[in-house]
Amino acid sequence: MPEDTTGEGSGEDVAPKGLTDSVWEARQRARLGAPAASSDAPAGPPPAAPAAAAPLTEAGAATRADPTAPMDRPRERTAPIAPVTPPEHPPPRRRPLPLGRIVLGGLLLLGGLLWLLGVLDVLDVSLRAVLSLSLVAVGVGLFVGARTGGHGGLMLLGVLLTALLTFLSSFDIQLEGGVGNRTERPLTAQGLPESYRLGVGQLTVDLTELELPAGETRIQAIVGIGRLVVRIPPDMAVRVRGNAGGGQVEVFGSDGNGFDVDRTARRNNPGSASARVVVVAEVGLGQVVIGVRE
Amino acid sequence: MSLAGLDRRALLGGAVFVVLGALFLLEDLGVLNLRAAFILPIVLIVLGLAVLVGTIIEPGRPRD
Repeated sequence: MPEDTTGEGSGEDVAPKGLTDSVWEARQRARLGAPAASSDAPAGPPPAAPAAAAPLTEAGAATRADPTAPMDRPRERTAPIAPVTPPEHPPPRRRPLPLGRIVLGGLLLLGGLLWLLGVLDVLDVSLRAVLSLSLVAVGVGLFVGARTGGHGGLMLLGVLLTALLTFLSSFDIQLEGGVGNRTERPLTAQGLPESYRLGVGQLTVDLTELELPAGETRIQAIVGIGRLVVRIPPDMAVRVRGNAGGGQVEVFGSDGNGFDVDRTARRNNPGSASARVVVVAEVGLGQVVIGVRE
Repeated sequence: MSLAGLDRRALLGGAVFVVLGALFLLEDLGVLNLRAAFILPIVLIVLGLAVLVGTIIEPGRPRD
């Protein structure tokens, strides 16, 4: 069996035969790339390193001759570093205020406030008045922001408000009074409100059980969009007027339709000459029906 | 007052909206009694005037 002169595979830290301890230790360090030789390393010229051990750099040439020396990483030459001046940033420009958002936020705030005050009966403001004020505010916003330009959103909002107001005003649509179907049956003249109102839906005003005092009693009913029905007892002396901004008006069987339709009628009752009812029924867009109910 | 540097289209639109809003408000408050049949033609007249005036004061403005 040949002798293992390299010591590999022996697994022991003992120099093989024929090698002194110092030579064995030097070979082990060179193989493992261990750090510098210990103090008991032999002095004098080290064993010749293989030619292809490592490319030598200027700094490392002196040390690489020693195989027991640590493997120095080549140092790179660096040019002198010039002081770096930070790039000059242009002075920060103030962004123009988003005028559209400001006006929209203000309008929402104002609209909500007016709505809340209306619900609390603190202030009586109609929807058309709020929309009109909003249109004026949009116009003022465009004036104020004319220097910065680019207010397509405000322009669009103004056009939409104008279209909505034109629609509401053309048909005289009043949207106060809520939405749905409602029937009113007044019993006494003292309990009559100034006017019955409904925004959208059907409103029925039934006068068949109304106790009339002497003289003239006025009853007004207004529906924004929908149907308005007024029922009158056959023995009641009445003067009625039905009006629709757009739609149909039917009064005691006589009807008309189209835009701004207006119908009036009068009926006397000799038995109750001193008591008379004046009925005014208006619909913005829809139908008015005034008829006799037995 | 110079109009240089101002967006004339915004000025014109603002003027139209203020006038229309004031008309609608006065009509709602009962100060003006515009008949329903007049409102749409009036709005069309105002908008048409606005378009014409806008074209005249900014003839060279490129379209967006």
